[in-house]
Amino acid sequence: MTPATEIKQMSGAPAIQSPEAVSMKFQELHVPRNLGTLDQPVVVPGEVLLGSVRDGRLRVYSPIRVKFTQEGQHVIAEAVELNEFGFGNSVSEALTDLQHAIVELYLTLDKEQERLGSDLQDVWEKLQKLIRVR
Amino acid sequence: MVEEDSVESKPIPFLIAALVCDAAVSDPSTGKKNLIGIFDRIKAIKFPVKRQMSLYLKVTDAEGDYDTEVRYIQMSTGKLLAKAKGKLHATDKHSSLDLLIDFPPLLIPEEGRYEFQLWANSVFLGTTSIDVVQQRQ
Repeated sequence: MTPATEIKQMSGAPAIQSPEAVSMKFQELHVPRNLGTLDQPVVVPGEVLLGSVRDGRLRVYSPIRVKFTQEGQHVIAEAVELNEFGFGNSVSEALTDLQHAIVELYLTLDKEQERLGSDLQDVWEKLQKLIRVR
Repeated sequence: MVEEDSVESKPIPFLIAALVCDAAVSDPSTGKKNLIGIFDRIKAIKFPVKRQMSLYLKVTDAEGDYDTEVRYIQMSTGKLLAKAKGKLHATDKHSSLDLLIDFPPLLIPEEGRYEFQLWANSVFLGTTSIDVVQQRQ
């Protein structure tokens, strides 16, 4: 990792928020010149905390713990507390798929609340601790 | 590695918009943001190549101080190519905050999709991506 190469400023919105709300330090990381072949292994993080489900109707209230695993060229993202999975050819694709799955799960369970069995009721209770309607 | 300190106690900011453009300037008299040349696709004759890019981000639901990071990632490999780190301070979670980042020329090693990820207090908030294709001569 190379040292920071340049200082960049990021300004905030006027009137509502302080203009000096953010300052950013830019860092370009060392990348080999011959980077990039299709058979190159994908860099997969172990775990991330997810703060968005990519849906304007829902707000993540408490971060959702997501664990990544790799099977061949495919990446699997798992929302550990919810036992939901997303799949893709990259971390981002798997995460996006998982976000859609979580939204679908939330909306379905919300609609079917009266008819949920005990297992799904547990999932619904966990979901409500993590996600709320905006 | 997940860092869980302080993430529970603060509202998780909501990413309303994320756009990549040629240049982004803030009008000093009004504070309004002007985005010039918004794009999501780049054609390059050869690789690797470097290109100047600016990033506009708009968030809401933020209150307090956040350690903020923007990561520039090659999606096919998951490699982190560059990042910008900073502090975000928001006073009112019901209002919005917009951010401009003028990156220096960023490396594009090869064709494919590249992503800018926004993180606050180690929590992933969202992304925007660009597609890079080879210009056939």
